[in-house]
Amino acid sequence: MIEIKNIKKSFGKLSVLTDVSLTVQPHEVVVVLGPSGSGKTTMLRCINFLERADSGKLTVGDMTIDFTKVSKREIHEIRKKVGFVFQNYNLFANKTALQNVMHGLVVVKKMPKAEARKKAEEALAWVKLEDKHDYYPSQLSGGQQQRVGIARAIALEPEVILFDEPTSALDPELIDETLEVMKNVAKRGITMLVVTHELSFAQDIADKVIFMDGGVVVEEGTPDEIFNHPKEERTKQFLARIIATKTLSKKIEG
Amino acid sequence: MFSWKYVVDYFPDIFAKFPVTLELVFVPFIISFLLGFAIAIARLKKIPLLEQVLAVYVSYVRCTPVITQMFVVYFGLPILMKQFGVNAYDWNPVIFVFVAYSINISAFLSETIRSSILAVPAGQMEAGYAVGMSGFQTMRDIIVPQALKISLPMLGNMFIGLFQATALAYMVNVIDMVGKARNISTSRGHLLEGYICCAIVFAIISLALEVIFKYVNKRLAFGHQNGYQRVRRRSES
Ligand SMILES: Nc1ncnc2c1ncn2[C@@H]1O[C@H](COP(=O)(O)OP(=O)(O)OP(=O)(O)O)[C@@H](O)[C@H]1O
Ligand SMILES: [Mg+2]
Repeated sequence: MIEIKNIKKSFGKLSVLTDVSLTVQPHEVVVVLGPSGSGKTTMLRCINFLERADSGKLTVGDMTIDFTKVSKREIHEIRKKVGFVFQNYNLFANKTALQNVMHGLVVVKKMPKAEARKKAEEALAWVKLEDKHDYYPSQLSGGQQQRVGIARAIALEPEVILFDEPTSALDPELIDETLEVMKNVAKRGITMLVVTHELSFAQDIADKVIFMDGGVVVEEGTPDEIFNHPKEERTKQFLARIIATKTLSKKIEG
Repeated sequence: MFSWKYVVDYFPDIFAKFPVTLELVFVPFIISFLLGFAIAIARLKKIPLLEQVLAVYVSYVRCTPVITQMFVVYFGLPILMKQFGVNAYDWNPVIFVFVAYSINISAFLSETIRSSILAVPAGQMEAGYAVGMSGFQTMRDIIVPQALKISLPMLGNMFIGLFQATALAYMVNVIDMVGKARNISTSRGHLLEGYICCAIVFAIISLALEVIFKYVNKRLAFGHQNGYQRVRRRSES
């Protein structure tokens, strides 16, 4: 389980997260939607301490910390419980696909090499890259790189995996294969907190959808509630805009 | 009259001093590498005061000719050591060259290493944290290997440059190949041949080093160029 409570974050005078709380139950998939600049990335980064929140509380599994007084040790513990899939993959460029997945197992989890290798091979098979073990990131397509990124996260068996727009840097024809892999991850019961603009993914997979704007949660509910019966005006406008862009780009493509 | 015969005649005596040249290359280069690396990390960490001191150090070295640095060390170090009650006046002159070149190369190396570390995309550091690695572990396993790869061509150039700069060591009375050539020339009266002999040795070894560095640079590519071919061939077979 993961819960954030009253998280606040400003960059200088700009308040990016005004007061955000949310909960992801075990095995749940929660999708976060929101316009550009609404603070989605910042929220995910705060959970993993890539950004330091100004205040608020965070619970991951059996551990609760207060952002105002968190120790280095606690940060390290939280990071071990949280996986992160980046928008631009961030694979280790000096490691092969297999090594990318293995490395954390060996260095962080202190797993014997042979066991780590087996685990990494399993994870790569999950994301359908069993034939790409020895490829370096520079030899993989964007979609393949992102799947290695997903394998790297799942191999560590974190309590939750955070996804920050995992498909938005990909060419349209590579988006589907990546979403397919994410659906499989979800079906395995892995807890996921996903920022994405892929409404179909949210519709099919999410247990809960959260709409964020201006550093607050505007509305949350089941996909049906949010997509078919949104209560807030801002939610309606945002959805209308996204659907309009999607239809337009479909028309342009053919 | 210039004669190739003397070049050949002098060769054994001159080449006998090649180990001195090697020593003048390897000792400062290894010290500089460690020192330059430490300077680079210290400057990247922006440790107050140390950061400013190192910035001055680096710009002093970059703004003065290496030959002046060598003389400053040669004449200055004994005076400095005297303050500590050490008599450096009868030290082997090689030591002054070690010190002078270590200071020189470490400054240049630190800049190269620093910019190479900065050239590795910052996202990989974050990915390391996200995986649960410490900053040190991520630097050690992910960032530094890539930075070294990026800096390799520059390191190669510096190594070759240092190799050639050892030819100045005779000015502080080190008897390396050039020092030997000078001694032979003055005692036997044929000035040019000794230096030609040195020039040939320097040229051949510099060219060989260049080839070696190019090869290593290619081999170390993380999946580019021929690395790609290797993987493809393996998966095809
Ligand atoms: N390191 C930073 N320093 C200063 N401002 C920042 C920093 N990171 C983010 N911001 C600002 O915070 C705001 C929220 O950014 P964030 O990346 O969280 O938005 P987002 O919802 O993820 O947007 P997008 O959909 O475009 O990815 C933006 O106005 C951004 O300019
Ligand atoms: Mg974002």
